[in-house]
Amino acid sequence: MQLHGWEAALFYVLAIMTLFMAVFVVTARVAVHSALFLISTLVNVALLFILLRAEFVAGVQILVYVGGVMVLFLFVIMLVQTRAEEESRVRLYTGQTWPAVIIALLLAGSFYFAMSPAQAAFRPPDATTAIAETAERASAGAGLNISKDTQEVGEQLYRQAALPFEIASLLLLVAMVGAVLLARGTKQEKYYE
Amino acid sequence: MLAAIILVPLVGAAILGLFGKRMSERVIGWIACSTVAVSTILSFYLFFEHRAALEGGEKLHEYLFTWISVGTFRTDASLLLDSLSAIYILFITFVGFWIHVFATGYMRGDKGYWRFFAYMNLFMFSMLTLVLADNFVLMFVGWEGVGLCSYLLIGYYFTKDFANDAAKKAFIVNRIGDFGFVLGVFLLFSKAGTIFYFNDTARGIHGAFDWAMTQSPDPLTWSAIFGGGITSVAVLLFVGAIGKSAQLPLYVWLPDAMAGPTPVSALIHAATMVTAGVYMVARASSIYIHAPTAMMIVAIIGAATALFAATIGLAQWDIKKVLAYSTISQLGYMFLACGVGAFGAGIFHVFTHAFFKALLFLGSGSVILGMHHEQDMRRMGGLKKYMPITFATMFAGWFAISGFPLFSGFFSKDEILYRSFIANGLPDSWARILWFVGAVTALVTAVYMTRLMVLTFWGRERFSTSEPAPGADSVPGGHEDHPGPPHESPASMVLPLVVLAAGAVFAGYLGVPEGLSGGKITNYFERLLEPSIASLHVMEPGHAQRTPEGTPLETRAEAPARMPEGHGLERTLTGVSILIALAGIGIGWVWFKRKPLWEPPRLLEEKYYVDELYNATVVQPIKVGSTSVLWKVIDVHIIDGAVNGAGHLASMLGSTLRYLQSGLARSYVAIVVLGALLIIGYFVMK
Amino acid sequence: MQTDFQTIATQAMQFIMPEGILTLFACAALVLDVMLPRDRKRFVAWVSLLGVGLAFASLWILYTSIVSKGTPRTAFFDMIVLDSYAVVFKSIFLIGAALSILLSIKYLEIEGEQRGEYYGLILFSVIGMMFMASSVDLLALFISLELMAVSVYILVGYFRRDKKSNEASMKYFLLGAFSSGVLLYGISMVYGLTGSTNLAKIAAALPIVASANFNPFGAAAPPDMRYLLLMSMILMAAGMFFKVAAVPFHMWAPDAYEGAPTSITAFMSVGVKAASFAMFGRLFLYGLPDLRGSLAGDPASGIPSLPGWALLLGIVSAITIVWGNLGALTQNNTKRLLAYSSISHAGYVLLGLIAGNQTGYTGFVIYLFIYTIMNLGVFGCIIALRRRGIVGDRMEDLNGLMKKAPGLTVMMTIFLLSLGGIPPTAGFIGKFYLFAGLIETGNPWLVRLAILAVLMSVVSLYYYIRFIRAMYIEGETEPQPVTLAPSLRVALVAAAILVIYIGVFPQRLIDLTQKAATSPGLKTYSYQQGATKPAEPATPPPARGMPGERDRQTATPPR
Repeated sequence: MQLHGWEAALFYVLAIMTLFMAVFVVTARVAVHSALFLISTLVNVALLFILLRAEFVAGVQILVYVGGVMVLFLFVIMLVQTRAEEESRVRLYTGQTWPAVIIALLLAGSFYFAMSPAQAAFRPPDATTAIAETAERASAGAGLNISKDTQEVGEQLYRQAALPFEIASLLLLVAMVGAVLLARGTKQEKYYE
Repeated sequence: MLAAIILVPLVGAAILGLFGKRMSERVIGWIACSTVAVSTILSFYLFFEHRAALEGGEKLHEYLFTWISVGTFRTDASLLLDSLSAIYILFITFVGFWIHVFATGYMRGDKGYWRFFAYMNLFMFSMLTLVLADNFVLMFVGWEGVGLCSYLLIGYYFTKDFANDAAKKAFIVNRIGDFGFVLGVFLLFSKAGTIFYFNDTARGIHGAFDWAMTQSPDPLTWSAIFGGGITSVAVLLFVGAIGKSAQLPLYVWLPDAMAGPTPVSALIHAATMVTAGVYMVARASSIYIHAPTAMMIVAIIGAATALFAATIGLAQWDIKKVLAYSTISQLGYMFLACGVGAFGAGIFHVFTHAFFKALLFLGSGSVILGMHHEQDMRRMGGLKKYMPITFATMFAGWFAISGFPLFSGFFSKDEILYRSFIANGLPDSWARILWFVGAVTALVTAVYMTRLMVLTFWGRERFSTSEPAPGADSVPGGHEDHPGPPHESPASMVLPLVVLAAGAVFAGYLGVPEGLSGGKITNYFERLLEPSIASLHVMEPGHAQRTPEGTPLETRAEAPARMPEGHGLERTLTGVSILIALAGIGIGWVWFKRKPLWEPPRLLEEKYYVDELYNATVVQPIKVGSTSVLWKVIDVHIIDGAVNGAGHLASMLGSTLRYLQSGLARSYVAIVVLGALLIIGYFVMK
Repeated sequence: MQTDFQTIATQAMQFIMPEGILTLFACAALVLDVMLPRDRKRFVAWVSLLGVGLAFASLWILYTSIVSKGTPRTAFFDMIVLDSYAVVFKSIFLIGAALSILLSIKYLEIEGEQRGEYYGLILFSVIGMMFMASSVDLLALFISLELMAVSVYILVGYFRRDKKSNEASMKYFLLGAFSSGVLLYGISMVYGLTGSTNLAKIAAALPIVASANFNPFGAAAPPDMRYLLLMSMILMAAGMFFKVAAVPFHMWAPDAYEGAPTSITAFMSVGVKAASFAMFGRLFLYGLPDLRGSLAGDPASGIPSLPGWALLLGIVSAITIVWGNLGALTQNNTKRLLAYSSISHAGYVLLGLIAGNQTGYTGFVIYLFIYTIMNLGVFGCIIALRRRGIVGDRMEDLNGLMKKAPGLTVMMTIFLLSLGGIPPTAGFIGKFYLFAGLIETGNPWLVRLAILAVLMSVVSLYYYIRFIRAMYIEGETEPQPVTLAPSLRVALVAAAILVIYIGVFPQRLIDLTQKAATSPGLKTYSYQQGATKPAEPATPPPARGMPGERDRQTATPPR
């Protein structure tokens, strides 16, 4: 699918925003700022999902990451907030910066190189079909669309992907055990025994 | 059943090796002898059980399990009993059993009693595996196994430097031979596509020998050796036999191997292991008859070794060294027989030789023990009144090896000489030359054996009864070196001597040449072997005339002895043999009775300086090369230099290298991405 | 709906019986830990061992009752498959886990870290590995990979009081997460290009996507998808290379191996590696078989032909073998040395995939099997050196071991010689198959690669013999005696016997692994005949993009 019209404009704006926010996450000196930038990155990605008509995933993205994970992040950062002067001492730009930038650009370049001959395999920018589709979606009503997607995701998740889903539950259990194991202090351990 | 013959000694070796340290000598001796006794009884039982089948040329396969199977390559642990392997297991177990009995007395009081018998049993296992294997790979397992046991037993007195050196020498020289053997097997596999001996339809196996019989023979040219054909296979296999059976030029390890205990010399270095090479050549007879060049090489090397070693034997003072060179010489005879196509005669000589040479070695062991570990014949003499039984039995061995009429060695040696005389297919007068060399060797053999007997048992007593002999070569650990007159050995040692002496006298009657008896006594031995040794059977020409040179090979390896018109020639030659034997004994008797301490020429006493020659041409260059080139140049400069240089480089490029393995996760990520980029770049930009 | 559910409940559940048993025991280990007093916690180890044993038994029942009977069967909507390939790999993991648990008991006691979570996490990671071996769906593969990886990240950092362990865990986690990201990127691209996460469907779609006729929208200039396919293949390969520690994605290995508890180093070096290779094989042999040879171009219209993953793996394995062996030469820390050695072994194992014939695949599986046993043996010997006050991971700690513990020394020698590939040890059989597979292809480049591998395994002997030299020749530097705990002794003796037994009688193992190497769906390639021999009907070859064509071109004429 190729975007056109206002969708294309929106896509480029969102994509560039996402990239910049992601860079800011890394370069921000204060941890809270980093976290906030991360939130905006995730929100941007959620918006991109909506552009792709994946409303359910977008909703989950906002609920889980922005609403859940990031809030926890912020709590933790604020609880263990270190003093500002310490943070200013962290060297952000070392000799590795420029090599890293070059490597990243090269990587991007090679992706572009691989992508460009495949352009024709994607749906050509045909205004008529796109407009028709948009009209169809509009007439069907936004609410219905979302529920239909959700239903599909649910069926996929609990039927086709039942096994990976179960494995994922083990994964979460392991992650939890690991978090407890690694974070538990010696004192706490003694206390419980 | 076949498997049991092999496995019982292995069980014995395992028991002795694991628990022997805590057992008494009596128990150890019982275990060691009884395991071999079981094998012996089983061998005899199997032989008589399947006698008719074996005489009919049937091959009894016993499949144990598939060892490795990769693509077309397959190796089984499977055994084969045909008349050839049957003869071998009969005398190996029989002689082996009596030598074990002898050793229980000979090794008494030795600290490593259990170790000794564990090795001996392990040797029996390996030797029987070698003989009973039905493919080259399993044979090689036994081949290496006997080599290992030989190494362990030569170096049995591991505290003695000379024993360690001798063991190492045997090991290294044998490796040269094994290299050839392995290459031969590889080449055979690449040609025939199998390493099994014979077809076995039950398992769907093709045999290399059955393949060989379908081949046309190679021409008799020197270039065939390097042609990569069947001749190359035969020559490479023979290189293995040269190493194992101590032929020129790889014989040098065998005399030194006498550093081991005397029963070891008797069992491994005289009766059984050293004849493995002959066994292998006879086993592969169907390959050899298609490789006339290889046959000729076998014959020439055999004859040359026979004469060469016999002359050295003439000049040795150490009683065991004389016997060692005699063994090499007799092995030469066996190869001479194989080389002229008389594989059966070669095996027959292996058979009789096993008895009389084991007897002679054990007798010498008895003498050595009686003389309180004196091996130098210059300090013996007049022993017959001290050790009457040893003397009597060794007398039998002496006559047998000298070819005195009606003793076992007479029949087998005579057969070999006759067959080399009438050998055809050899160019020019090679057959006559080979016969002549064999005859001269027979004379020399009779002379040096007479010398040995005269020096040991007759003449003046050249030992002092008060002081222990200095410079004794082989000192079994705990045996007390009490001074005193020589004494007869205990019953456990004398009994084997008597049994083997009987063998040495009578074993020959199994294979009386038909020419001699005029067909009145069947040559049972040859009849038994006939189906197993392809050449004799298939190459039956149907006429006895010797054909002119250059005729096809098929007319060569026949058995004219069966033809009446051959009897006259055979009888004439037998007469010549008898004369030679009598002359040899006479010369020895007269000469050495008069001058027992006659100094032989230095060239002979120093064994033609072969050890020195090898030392100068092979060992020293390698040593010098490895110290001055490999060590001082390559090791010190190039390898150490490279290592140091690498260290230098590392410290020079330290920042870069440490940067690579810096322990910083982000630089690792950078390297990962860089690596991916390089790959992408290579693939996408290509 | 109803029948679907019944199928899942009655049939498919038995397919994941071993994993199910392990899950139960893993949870039991976590619970038991809380209930047991401090000095009784080793009981958890025996419970876990029982779990592994039961899982093995049920795996064996599955094998004899289902797998050995006929065609492999899939379950959970084609998520997992039960074939010989999966069974052999699962048994590798279970053997590795059992030996690792045996190695750990005494070691954790000495370290004072005997806790149930340890064994629970080992079992969880084994569950992940087992799903990795049997999954034929990108989704299940990735999730199981993560299950294994997360468990191992935690285990690496299990000694919380040890800074090195913490650091190693952190590093391993960061880099592992990064590489998982790379892998996932590749996976998402493949999904985008083929429209499926099922490996069989991907394999079927690939030649269509790669072909010149692929032009869904009738564009004037047809798209060339091969670059994108290659890109996704390379990203997936990069992720996998990281997991198996192939150069240049190996950087984490020495640090993580050195810092992790030795028993976990042992477990990682065999279990994680074997599982990653199992997944590697699934991904590349089942999912991307058509990207193996080259993607033929069209010389007429100036479209170049592109190399496939055989070349990529060839280059990487050559570099890995050389780098790993050279890197090991100068190490003085035994764990670090063995890390480099395990890097080089990853290079050897790759050779089996490169060869692409049945011998090569057999070598691929059999080598991992043997490597698991022998490498755990070596690590077990190093664990035995851990005593009060001695870490035992320096080369000097081995000095004079022959005098202190001759039995241990002999077993260590067996394992080291096996790692070096000396007959009659098992290592020789493994190397033999790998190298024979390459030589069988007859392709001059692959033969050269085999020669390089042989030469480098000679180099590897140098550092293995350094151990032997230290043990036999050097005088002892440390008077404290070495004693073997019973559990460790059992593990080591079992491993040593297996190494010798497989070395002398390899046939049974060869039969088993050959079944895995001929599992349906595995394509073998023959350079000499120049044709692909798909084990299942392949899609008709399009004009461009089939590997067989290129193979035919590069084939050496038969002798």
